[in-house]
Amino acid sequence: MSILLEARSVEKHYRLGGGRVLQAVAGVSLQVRRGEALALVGESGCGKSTLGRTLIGLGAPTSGEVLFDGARISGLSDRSLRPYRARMQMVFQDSSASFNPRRTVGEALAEPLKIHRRTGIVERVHELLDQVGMSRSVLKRYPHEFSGGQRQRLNIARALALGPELLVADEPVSALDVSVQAQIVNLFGDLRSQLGVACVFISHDLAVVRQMADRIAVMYLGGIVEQGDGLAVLGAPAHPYTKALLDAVPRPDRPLPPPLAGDVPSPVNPPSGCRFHTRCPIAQARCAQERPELRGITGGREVACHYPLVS
Amino acid sequence: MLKDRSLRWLDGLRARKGTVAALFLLAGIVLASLSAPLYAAMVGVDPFASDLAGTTQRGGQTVDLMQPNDNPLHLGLTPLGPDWQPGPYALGSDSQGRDVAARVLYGGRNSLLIAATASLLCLTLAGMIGICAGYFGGWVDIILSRILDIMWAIPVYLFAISLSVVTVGHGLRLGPFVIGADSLLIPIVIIALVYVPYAARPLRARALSLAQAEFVMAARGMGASHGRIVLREILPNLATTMVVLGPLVMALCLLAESALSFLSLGVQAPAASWGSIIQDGEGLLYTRPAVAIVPGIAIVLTVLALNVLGNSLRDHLDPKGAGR
Repeated sequence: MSILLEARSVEKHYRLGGGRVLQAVAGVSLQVRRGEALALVGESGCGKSTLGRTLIGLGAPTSGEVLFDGARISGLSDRSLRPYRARMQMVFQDSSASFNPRRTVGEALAEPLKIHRRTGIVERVHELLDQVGMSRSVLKRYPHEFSGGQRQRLNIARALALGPELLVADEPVSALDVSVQAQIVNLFGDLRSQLGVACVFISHDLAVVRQMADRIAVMYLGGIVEQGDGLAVLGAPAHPYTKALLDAVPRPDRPLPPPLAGDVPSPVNPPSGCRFHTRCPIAQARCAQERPELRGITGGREVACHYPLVS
Repeated sequence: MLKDRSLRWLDGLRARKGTVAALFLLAGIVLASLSAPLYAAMVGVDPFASDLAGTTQRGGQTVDLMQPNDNPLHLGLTPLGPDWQPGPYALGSDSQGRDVAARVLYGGRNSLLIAATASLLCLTLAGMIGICAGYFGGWVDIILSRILDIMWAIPVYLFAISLSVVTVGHGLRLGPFVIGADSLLIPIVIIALVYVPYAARPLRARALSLAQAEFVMAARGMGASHGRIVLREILPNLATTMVVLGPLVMALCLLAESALSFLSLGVQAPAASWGSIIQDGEGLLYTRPAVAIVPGIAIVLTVLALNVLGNSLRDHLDPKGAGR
């Protein structure tokens, strides 16, 4: 499979007052192949949403570059980015905030088609509604008249309008009831098999990730600590942070292991060496000095740890 | 959403007697002012011509408009007083022998016209500034906000009076456009300008929060241009705040207009406005108080009705509170 999206050493910093800098994304390199589903997993505040937005061209990276279909898209002007906008779309987490409350669903779905001057708008909008399983009667209604699950379907329909090759979905199901979550997860599965669209799912929910993703990239404090095949990573984590995340999921067959000590360090003042060493149960002296790079281990996986649990 | 919300506002009107009263009062005042030429023709007076030697009919007798003074010194002349009967000079005459009732109606036309257009102009300017500052942010926001701060620091009336003093003598020359000194455009532009900071602040705050809304980011992600985002995403949502601010700004503009006209810096004689009629009545306060009191009451009622209306709209459309 050819590479659709590639990030090379992407950094995203935010200037705070008093000369302090928040490193939201700290040197991330990743690849998304055509038709593949990649999950970005991590705690809230680890930079996964910022990374998602940077990947899709909503906010330029501070350094590093993003390539889409081999062409560099980071640092392009809005105008020159426009042709790429049609080929990659974002699904936002809060479906109630991602629709303009003053405009009908029909107007919202037609908007991307109008922006890119497509023809046959009415037919396309009807087709989109069929794809996400909504009836045509919704077009004249306003977004607040729908439930969260229905709105998320419409949100997905709008993102699909231009026929994108890549969807970046930021916590697409975390605001939904579990029963509705399953529907949306299935919808994503159907759409991927029908349309062959590549997806980047941003999530903190490992159960959802297991369902949705081919590959997983685990993020901690702005950097990727481990990535690889989904089942392999979740089955036998190589990074102690991945293991801690999995241990934190309650399971009926075992008592909950003790949680990680301490809080996530501030991304304004990240720890030296390995960023995880302050909380790592197996950290050694070397971890505080030397930053581990991602390196290959068995099964095409990569881990950024001096003492990986799987080698 | 706007549609069904405004419909619900109408439905709920029955529960808000104050708002209904304000609406009727406002409609009555506007209709009465609009009918000013009709009234003048009906009773047969010219409210703009000085007529010191004129006479009128009272109870079948011909009486002078200017009557010998009834104070003990018998100095000067006193205009005819009100008889509160339908017909010419119902509210008496002013010191120029003009029909006060007709002048109050004509004055209402000017006062309401100036207040309405000034508030529209003010909201338009404030909306543009608010969108530029709030949506684009950065140095645009810094510069615009500091300019507004500077304007805000000058007392509104002092600012308006200063601008009026500059323009009252010879009008305004803006490149190819020349506005005569007696044009209503002068008070309209001045009053609109001085209240721009008042309206621009809440609009900027709203535009700022809208600019960071997810649906605006979604529009950007689709490749929408800034102009398209402003017109189709920001503006429809900003409209609520503008609707709420509308009556409140109009009340402020009406007060400012009256104050300027009272100081002879707004509407210029012989045209009338409520403020200028109060000034006409100032010298007659002890002998013919109705000349000043009637337009005063008109101002009070209009401002009251506008404020009740504005607050009711705010409570309904914008519970978080636009303005202050």
